[in-house]
Amino acid sequence: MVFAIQLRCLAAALIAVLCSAANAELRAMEDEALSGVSGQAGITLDLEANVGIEEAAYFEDGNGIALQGVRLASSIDPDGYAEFRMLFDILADGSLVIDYKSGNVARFEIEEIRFVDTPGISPLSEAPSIGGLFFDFDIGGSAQIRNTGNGLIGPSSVVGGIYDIDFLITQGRLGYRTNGNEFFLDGMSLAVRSYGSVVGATAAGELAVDLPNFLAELSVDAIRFSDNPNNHGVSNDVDTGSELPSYGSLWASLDLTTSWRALAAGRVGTQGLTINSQTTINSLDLAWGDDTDWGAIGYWAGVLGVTGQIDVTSLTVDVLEDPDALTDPAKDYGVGLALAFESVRVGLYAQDLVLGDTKLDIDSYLSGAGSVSSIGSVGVNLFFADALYDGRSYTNSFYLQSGGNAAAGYQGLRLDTQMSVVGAGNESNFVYVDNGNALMMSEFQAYADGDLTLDITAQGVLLGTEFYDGLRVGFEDFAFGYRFGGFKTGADTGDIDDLKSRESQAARSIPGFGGGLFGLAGQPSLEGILNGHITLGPGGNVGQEGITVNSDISLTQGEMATYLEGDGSFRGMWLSGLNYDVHLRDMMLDVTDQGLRIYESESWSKMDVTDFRIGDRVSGASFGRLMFETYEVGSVRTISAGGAGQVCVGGTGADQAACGADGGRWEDRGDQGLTISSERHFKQSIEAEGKRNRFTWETGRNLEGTATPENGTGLQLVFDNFTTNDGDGITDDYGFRTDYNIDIAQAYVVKKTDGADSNGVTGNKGDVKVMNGDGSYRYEAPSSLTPADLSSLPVGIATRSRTHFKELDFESVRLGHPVGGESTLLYGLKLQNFDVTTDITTTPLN
Amino acid sequence: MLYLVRVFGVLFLGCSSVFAEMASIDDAALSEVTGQSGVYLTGEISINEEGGPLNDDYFGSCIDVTKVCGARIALQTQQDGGWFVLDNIQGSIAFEGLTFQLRAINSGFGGDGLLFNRDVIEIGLPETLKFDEFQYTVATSNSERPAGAASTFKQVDFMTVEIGGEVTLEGNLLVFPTP
Repeated sequence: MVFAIQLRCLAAALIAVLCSAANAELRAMEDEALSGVSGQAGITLDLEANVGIEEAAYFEDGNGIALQGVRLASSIDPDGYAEFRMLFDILADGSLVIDYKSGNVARFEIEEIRFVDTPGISPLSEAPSIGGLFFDFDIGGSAQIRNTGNGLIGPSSVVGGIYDIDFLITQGRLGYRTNGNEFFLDGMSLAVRSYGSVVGATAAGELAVDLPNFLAELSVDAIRFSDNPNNHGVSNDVDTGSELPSYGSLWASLDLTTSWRALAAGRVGTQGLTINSQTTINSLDLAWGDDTDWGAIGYWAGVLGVTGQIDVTSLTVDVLEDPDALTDPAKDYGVGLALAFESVRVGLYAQDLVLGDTKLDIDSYLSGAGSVSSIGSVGVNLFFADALYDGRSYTNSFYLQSGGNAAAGYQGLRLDTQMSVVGAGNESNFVYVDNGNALMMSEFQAYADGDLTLDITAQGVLLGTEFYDGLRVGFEDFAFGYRFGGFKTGADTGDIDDLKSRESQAARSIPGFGGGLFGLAGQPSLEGILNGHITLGPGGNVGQEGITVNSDISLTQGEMATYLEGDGSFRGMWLSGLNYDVHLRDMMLDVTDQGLRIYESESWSKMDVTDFRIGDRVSGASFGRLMFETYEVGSVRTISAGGAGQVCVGGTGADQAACGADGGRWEDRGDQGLTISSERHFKQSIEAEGKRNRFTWETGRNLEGTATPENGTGLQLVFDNFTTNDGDGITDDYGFRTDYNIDIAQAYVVKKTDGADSNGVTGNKGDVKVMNGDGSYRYEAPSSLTPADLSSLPVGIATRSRTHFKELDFESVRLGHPVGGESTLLYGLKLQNFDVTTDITTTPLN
Repeated sequence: MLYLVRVFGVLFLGCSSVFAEMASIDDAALSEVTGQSGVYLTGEISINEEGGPLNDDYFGSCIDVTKVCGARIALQTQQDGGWFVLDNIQGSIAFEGLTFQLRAINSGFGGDGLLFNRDVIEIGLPETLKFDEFQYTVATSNSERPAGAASTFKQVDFMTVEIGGEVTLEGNLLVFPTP
């Protein structure tokens, strides 16, 4: 590898070296460090720096990544100096201590990040670029290099040093800038302490970095966006003086142990890097705050008490030509930074997923007092490695390229992605624990293959493409797919691996996620090709902060399962030949005391399913074509912590006694769980804009029953222009409301026949299924059930839903055929005054 | 949207019974079944137990005996014609042991099973359905909605159906996709 640096100017640097102990007290030192101080005088160094580097490039195997316009200066004045003071001291034991402190807020900046294929020849100024980065900081801290002699260090016999690092960054900003627009973390503080850090080389020639005690806490006052090219790293617009809009605040606290080894040579050629690492997350708390004062005002969503392990095997770093150059020249975006790995294993478990708590509540809870609004615990296990998906081979490689979306300007980021998640042996899964009952969505497999783009964009039309304010994630022929092998349930034992031995049951869609972007969420299997974008802008519907989403997404050549048998056959209910378009305008996300609130200013979508199949997704029998079109204005969803709580199933009653007296069964589903509430307003169609509410079922098409039926040639049953109103046909304040309470809870399962079930377990008709400690089960007569039996019932997914609306109005129901013509069955269909509650628990069928 | 998928899915199941061949499966046919999985469902469905969201001169709380507290479905079969009405729909249905799974049909049914040789939806009916004060009224009306048309609104209630107690449902319902 080769490093090349071109200095445009090395601005005046004033270095004052003062040999005086009087200048040594820059900050309070830790007791541990103080214990080594023996009154020696140190060296104080004052540094004023304004450094500009025209280009610094890293080359390997003939290709390079160039950092252009690198500068270190004052944050408020590019011509000003960044000021630092450093104290060098030698402790009595021979350790070197370096204390350092900023004299002002400095800015480190890279104006352009480009890839080059010829050393020494800089790209043109309008050549594609990833964009620019800037980092403002006021830093104070210390680094101690322990005197461990010249021997080998630690079990890996590293030749190097042991470092105790401790620093605090305040008044920080970390930003990304493309085409005059900026997205940055503002008011950032970062405290880091890493004692006993080892940096050196192993006998095998590896670069070794071990951080056995890494602690960090990050606080970000505001995540801001600017679409004014005159702004650069400022909190207030320089032209209007107004505070720049914010997505909210961010907080993270991390405790980890990590070990990295880097070898020379990457995956391709003789140069590059290969990295192996093992990281143990001892504790991680991560939260996003909305309109918060970091105390009792404003609400947060996040994960608390995360623990886990991340192991990376053979991560290679190269700078390579686009592999599409050989196979698909139209998608050749030039040289890029190529990251690939043999495998990555991620196992994370979050004790609490909280929604709608104040920072004060969270801090109190983490200090051992009080409680939070927790959905429950969640776990994720992912194993990324080369694998086959439906016979196609996928690997894990990422080409980071410059340019972003072609219409957005010359700056931006492109990620040519191929990803593979292995799960056939249940290496990958998701776990949810609710009041001691656990659900594992098991045998998760996934792939992705296509281009992602990342740009900071401003509202407007460029080269025929409409852009919106915010961070734009683009999808360009991005093929993806995932599926679950089944669901497993059981009592939580504290070891989520115990669930792997439980019987597998059918996987099915999670209720409550319908509509908008969520129309495809929560399904057991989905694949297709994505094109379009999701743009995340600042500001919400409640208060000043929040996230505003604008999106136009098209999924084509899709397959989606709403139900999959749990026997590994992947037989299910399939939406085959799925094409789905969804458009969101100003969908605003806020965290409130109720949880995550999602307000959709306007949304419309069209889901066109060529065949609704039963059984095999390709050859299964089909109900025909289904088409769902929706148009909504002002719809609201809220996702809250807490499920159904105490319910009376099969009767009514406010308590157990009253419920039982009415013939019902009292169930206490605990304080955790998930509630998804929606209020949807279906509006009159605007045909010219393709916005409508319509359901169409088509059968009898040409080539029906083959793999290529001709849509539009059959008989169509159309439920047209359905809308909501308040029962007067005029106003629409109430909408179509649904509340889903989702819990993982024990369920009462009654044997339906005498004799042995499908697993050979015998019992009599009417007996109740009771789980044994080892995951097996037995049947007990209702009269002989003990309290212990009643607390060992099978665990299932309990869903309580309440759907209520004042009026749902269908303009017409008609039949149509391209040859036979059209006839109206119903000239109006009105559903009024509905309030329907369902309470259903699903468990495995034996 | 997926809620609508489910709503219409239910409608489909209802409509598809027009096309479906419903039949009890004998032991011989059962022996051909492979790869069972499925889910067991227990629970209840209740409609307007305490009334609906409308509160006007026609609809109201179930406590108010002068008001209709159930749900209402009105449909018009002729342009500018009158309305066929299912009114005051309310009550609850509880069940235990409703099962749902896919079933491979590759034999039986007088030889049609072998020709079909595909999966169907099997809904295992619960032994018992418990109806609690379930009722609806069949009527005709001159108006699509009663509220706001009090001066001209006229409706004839032909009959009210009330169901209480337990209904025994045994066997399986098979839904054959035949587009």
